[in-house]
Amino acid sequence: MTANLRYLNASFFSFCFHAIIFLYLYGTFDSNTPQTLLISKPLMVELKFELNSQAANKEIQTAAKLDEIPPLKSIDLITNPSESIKLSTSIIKESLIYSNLSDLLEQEKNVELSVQDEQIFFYSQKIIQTIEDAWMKPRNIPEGLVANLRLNIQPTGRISRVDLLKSSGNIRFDNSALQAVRRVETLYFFNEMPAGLYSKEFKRIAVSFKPL
Amino acid sequence: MKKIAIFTLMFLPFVCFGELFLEITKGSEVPFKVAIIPFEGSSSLSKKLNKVIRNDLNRTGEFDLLDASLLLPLIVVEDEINYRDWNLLGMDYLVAGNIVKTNSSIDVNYEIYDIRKKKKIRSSKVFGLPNQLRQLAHYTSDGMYESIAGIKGIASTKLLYVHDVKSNNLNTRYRLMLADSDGANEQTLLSSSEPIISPSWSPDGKKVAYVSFETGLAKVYIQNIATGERNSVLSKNTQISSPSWSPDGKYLSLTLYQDGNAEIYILRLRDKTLTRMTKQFAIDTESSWSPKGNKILFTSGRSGSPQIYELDLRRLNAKAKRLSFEGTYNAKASYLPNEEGIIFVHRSVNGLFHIALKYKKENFIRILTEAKMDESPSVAPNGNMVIYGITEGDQSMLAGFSLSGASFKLPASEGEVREPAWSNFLR
Repeated sequence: MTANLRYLNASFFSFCFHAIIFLYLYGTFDSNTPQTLLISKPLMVELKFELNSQAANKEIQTAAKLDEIPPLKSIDLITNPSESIKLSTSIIKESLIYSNLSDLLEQEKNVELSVQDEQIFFYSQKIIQTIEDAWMKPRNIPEGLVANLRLNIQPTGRISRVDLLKSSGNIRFDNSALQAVRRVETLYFFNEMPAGLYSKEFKRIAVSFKPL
Repeated sequence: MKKIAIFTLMFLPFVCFGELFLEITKGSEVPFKVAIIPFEGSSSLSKKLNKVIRNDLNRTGEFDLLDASLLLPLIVVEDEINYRDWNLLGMDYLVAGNIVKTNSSIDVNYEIYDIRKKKKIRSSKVFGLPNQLRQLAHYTSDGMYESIAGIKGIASTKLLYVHDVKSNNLNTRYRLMLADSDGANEQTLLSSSEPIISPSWSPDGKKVAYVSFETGLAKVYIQNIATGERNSVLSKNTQISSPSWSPDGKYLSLTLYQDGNAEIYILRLRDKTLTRMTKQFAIDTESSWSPKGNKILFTSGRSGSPQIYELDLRRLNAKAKRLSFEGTYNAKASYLPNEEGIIFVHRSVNGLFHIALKYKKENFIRILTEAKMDESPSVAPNGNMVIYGITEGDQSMLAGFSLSGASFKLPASEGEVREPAWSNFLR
């Protein structure tokens, strides 16, 4: 019985301990830490895509060459040359097709991904432009102020909720940021956006006001 | 295996919350462009009202109003607004309204249209009394300011100041005055043949504290604005000066001269208990409270020249922290709302007195005014405007500026006007 109790105690404490760790990591105790995912990242990916495709093309060629050689050698031993040529060409073709297929599939994935990144970048720029147009930066504010907001956006582009994640400490600056978002109210280009993209990336975004 | 599980658990939250993060770095510093179509109503009324409203908005420095002469008073119907035309004019907002006058009241209805959004963002009705037209105009302009700029307007707040008038037989009359935030609508709260200095508002705006020399000694009085009832706060036989009300209205910080030199005390108004806050051989005076009521600012000569110090009231025997290090004269400080900085009088290298701003985060000061003898700044409750005293030639009067860049002078009157104090929000 005592052993059982101890076991219960230990498991209870362990549960609490792990629950606290989990909650801590989940961010329950600190709601003011937005994840920083810079916009410049999609740009980088886009550049990589071009390099990748070239590299992929090269790989296809080398792979095809490698495939080419061994079957030819093996067929050389056979006395009938015309057949061997036919065989080898068919093998080469097949191998080329296969390698092309798998590579193409991968490429297609890459293209899809990069198209999405491009779109994310495009719409992000549009959002930034719209908010910058509406933002009246207050004068005579201390240097180095940063205010972070979180926007909840509906599929129509209407900003349904704004939260101040991190205050800059300056009332006028915080207010100007909130007012800029209020002035925007609806991001009209959201109705051109692919539905998948919206639910994946633009349902909830964080915006940081950070004058240069 | 377990380790991998723990690691995945640890990194799970980061994956879950990876939301898009955009950075806004550029904003315009151009004021909001607003077209106010003159409010229609009986002509004399509407002229006066429109003028007060325009004046209120211009003083904020955040509005660029379209010239009134370009606009005809016309009735605006929401569906017929040509947003494209207003947009071509470069307008951000359009305001239209009308005045409804009955025997017992004057009301203002107004609407604000956002030209970018192409829709109405506010529709309001302000109720007023016939003899309080200016007040009505101030409330209206505050409503407009709040909708467009996003923070509360201060047009409907009040000012206290001291007005000295020399009469013919060279006797000076000292008067404690109450006025609207634009200097109009003056009322005399107290008139005395002895000097009055350092007026200070109670946080609820119902009482004022000031120093009067009517008994020969400097004494602090509290006066109820509505009833005129006044009492001396302490019946000690020493000089008492520079009262400042705590934000909760329960305490008054004072300067007492009973210890040989000026020291700062805090008086609990309920039972008149005094607590000494500073123990220094040098002068400590001009205290003012932080917006939260947990700190006081004061001017002290302990370093050899007047400088600004901050005292934390939550700690026992806390040491005063020096805040100003620039130049040999910094005094009369008060906090900005939010305690992020202080506004004070600074003597520059060429011996001129300016109003300056120092943010706590920054190690330099920003000089905000350019006149010669600027004195006793007082910050508006929304933190966007400051009123202060200036001397032009041999006349002293009140001037103000907004942190957004506008500056203004209040209408001059005969004699000297000095030591303005800005009230809290009065609604």
